[in-house]
Amino acid sequence: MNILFVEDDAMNRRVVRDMLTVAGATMDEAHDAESGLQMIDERQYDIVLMDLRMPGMDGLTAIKHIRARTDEKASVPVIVVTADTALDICRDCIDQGADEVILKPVAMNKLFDAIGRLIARGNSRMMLN
Amino acid sequence: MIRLLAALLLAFCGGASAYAAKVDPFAQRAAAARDEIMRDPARALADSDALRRMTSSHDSLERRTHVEATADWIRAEALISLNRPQEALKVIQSALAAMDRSDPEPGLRGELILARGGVANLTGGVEDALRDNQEAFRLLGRGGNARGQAIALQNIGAIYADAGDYNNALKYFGQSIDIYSADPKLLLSAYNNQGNSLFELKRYADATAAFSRALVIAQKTNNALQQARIQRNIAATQAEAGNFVPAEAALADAFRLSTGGPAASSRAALYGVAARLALRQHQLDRAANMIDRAFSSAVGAEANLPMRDFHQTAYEIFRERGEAKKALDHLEAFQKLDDQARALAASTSAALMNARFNFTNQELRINNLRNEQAVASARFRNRMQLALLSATAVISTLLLIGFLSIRRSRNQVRDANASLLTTNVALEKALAAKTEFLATTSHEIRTPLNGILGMTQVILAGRQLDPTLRGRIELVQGAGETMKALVDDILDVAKMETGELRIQTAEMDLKRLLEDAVTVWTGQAETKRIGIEFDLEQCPGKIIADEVRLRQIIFNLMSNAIKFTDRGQVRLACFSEADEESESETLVIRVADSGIGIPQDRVEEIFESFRQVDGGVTRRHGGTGLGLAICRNLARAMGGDVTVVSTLGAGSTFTLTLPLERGTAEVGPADRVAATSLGAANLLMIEPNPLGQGIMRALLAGECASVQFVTEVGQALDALKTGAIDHVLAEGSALGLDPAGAGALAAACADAKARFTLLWREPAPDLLSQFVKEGVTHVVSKPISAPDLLSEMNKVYGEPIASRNIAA
Repeated sequence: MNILFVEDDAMNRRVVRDMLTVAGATMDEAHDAESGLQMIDERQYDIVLMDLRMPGMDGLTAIKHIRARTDEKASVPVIVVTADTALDICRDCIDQGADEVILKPVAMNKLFDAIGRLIARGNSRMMLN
Repeated sequence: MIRLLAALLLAFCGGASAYAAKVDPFAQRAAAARDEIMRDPARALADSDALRRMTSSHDSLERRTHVEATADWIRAEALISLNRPQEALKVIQSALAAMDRSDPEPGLRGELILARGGVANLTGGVEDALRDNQEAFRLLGRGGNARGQAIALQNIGAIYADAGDYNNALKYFGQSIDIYSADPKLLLSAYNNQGNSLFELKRYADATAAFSRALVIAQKTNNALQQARIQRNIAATQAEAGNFVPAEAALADAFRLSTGGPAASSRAALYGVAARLALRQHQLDRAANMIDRAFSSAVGAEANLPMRDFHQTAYEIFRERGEAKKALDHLEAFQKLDDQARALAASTSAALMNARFNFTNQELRINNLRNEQAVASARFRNRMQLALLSATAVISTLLLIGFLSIRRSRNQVRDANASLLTTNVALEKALAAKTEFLATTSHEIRTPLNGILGMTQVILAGRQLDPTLRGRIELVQGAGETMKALVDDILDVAKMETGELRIQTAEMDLKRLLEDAVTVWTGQAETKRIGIEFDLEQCPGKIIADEVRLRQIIFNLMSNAIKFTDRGQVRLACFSEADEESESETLVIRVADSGIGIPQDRVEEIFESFRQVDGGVTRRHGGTGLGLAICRNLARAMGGDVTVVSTLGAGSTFTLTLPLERGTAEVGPADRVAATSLGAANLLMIEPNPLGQGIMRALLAGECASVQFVTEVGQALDALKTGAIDHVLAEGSALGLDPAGAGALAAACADAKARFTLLWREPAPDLLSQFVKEGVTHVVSKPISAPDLLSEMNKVYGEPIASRNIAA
């Protein structure tokens, strides 16, 4: 499974990377939204994890860019991972095209449940290994 | 000075709002009922019952909520008009709770909260009144109801005026006029309010101008009662300004307007003004005559009379006339009323500040100001007593002292008010900065917490962890979770103050939540050597509520109980109470401890933000002191409350009450029958991989009655003992290559009348036969698609449950 995490904070990347290691999964990392979009261009991902507040382009704009693509990558599942606790943050993210929202500090079971839901939703006939 | 008009108008906020625009029978009938409130509240009350029934089962939830909330709002307004504020409050709270569950209509919510603010005003809850009016202002703005906003602003202004902060009051009255000027009644009230505040600030010319504007409107609407009152205000203002000719003219007009009709009842106040005017012109005989009439017609007249002003005027008249005994009587009466008025203003000021921010140092400041006032009036009272004891010969001298004392105490009040005003402005700035600070801080603290909690989770997920190390890491994680809870608490307070807190209800398992709470706190209680008892026999199972918020309240109450108890026990009980009259049920959750208790006079204080009973206790027991304030706010937002009964040294009992809405009925383990299909089964899956859990949880959602996950065989064995599991699905890697272990699990399943399925990736034939020998009869091999797995699992329901047999 190919996962990309777009996040400017190295510690946050490390935390999620190690969590995925527990499940036997790995991930690619992008330090900002611009390079994240480029990596989506070049490679095929099953899940994209996206921070919101980043220097340069912010996460919501990056999601808009992904959804505006004309190829099948436009529908890659996106999980927002944010420390923003504003009242309407979840709705705003979903409105912008995110599939799931996880609040920091990231709870491991919430992360895996979200990934699990997205995988299950996309492949009802997926083979369980 | 006289403030009569505002209260009359502002209790009711109907107006041509958006609801009337919709042409449907309900909207028309609702508009008619609303108009009825002012004329005949009893009838409006009856109408609201009929309105509430104007829903049908075909209506959408949104529509039903709208209809019911509108009917409730009219009912509440009618009850307020009938002077039944407590009943109104109940109706409003339940309507608000119902609205939270559907798409909120900001306009209607705003009206309801404005009405609640009206109740708070009637019952003297300054803090609640201020908060509700501010919240209503915001919501009505979102709903596009400028008229309602103008009413909220005037209400806020009136609160400031009560606190003697006339400058801020004027600001709000001015904004009210700016925001909506299309309703003459409202505009009239705003101008009159402005006039009264300007009068208090001794800006007589401005006050006269404001009253004159109000008068023009009253004349246009041909309302004699209001014209008379405004003319009286003008006369009083002009008298103080020394403009006796216009004062006499206004007074004459007021007398003319109040002959006969409803205006006649306000003649007492008119005589008072007349006496004052005569006194100012040194027409002492006329003044004495008028003040006598003021007092005699005050008997049985409207309650809202400026008696304090009457006594002051009378004292001055009789002093001038040399009637010492009479003068002294009035001086005494005046002093009593003046004390009351100052106490009211001081407590309103204090409440105003509390409503905005409860910093201890600000409290201290108010107390200092209050003390200054108290010292001043005590000094004055001593002097008075001395005066009464002295011989009549010195009375005239003492009268002079008394007169000076009035001046002095008034000056002190004015100075205190000026000081309060400065503090208020500073507080407003501090509040805005604080909210911003809290939001930012919360965000910034979350980031390092992500590192701490993230890594402890990763470490604890590793199965080969030394037990000592595991214990230490769990401690770090516990501390991290506590810190996260504190940050969340702080953020919640900021959200409550800006009205951003929302309640989101869904079906939830209350019993499980309470059992969780007991489990979580048992460890803590054991380290303090206190017991935890619980009585959940009568506890409802599935209910409709906001699980996150309910958990927050219960955990807070449990945490407090354990924190403040050093010996004995903490008891958690839950039950429901039925109210036959309203056919509603109340959920009661009670946390009782045998701890240090709370002094009787401090019981309400503990529900204020940043408060524990004393600073020393805060240091000993830790915490932000936010918990109970949050609990109460949350409970009220859900239509309930948190209350406490406490005996110092013997313990406290906190009770959470909420309107109970039951979820779908469920079958308890006692009368559980074995599931006859996978769809009815309570499934337990052993899956060590957290991502695997996530995927299976999503795939199995809706396919079984319930799904739970464990990571190890031992946990599955424990769960089977509860008798609540119908089917165990084991991921092969969890069992390793251990046929005996698998056999033990299969046997435990058979004992618990549960089915057992082993999900295994390409099992080697010889190993597989060993498993079968140990009693593992149902093995499904991977890879397999989810639908195929489900149909494989369903197949076992055609067979009897495996009995405990070992094939060998």
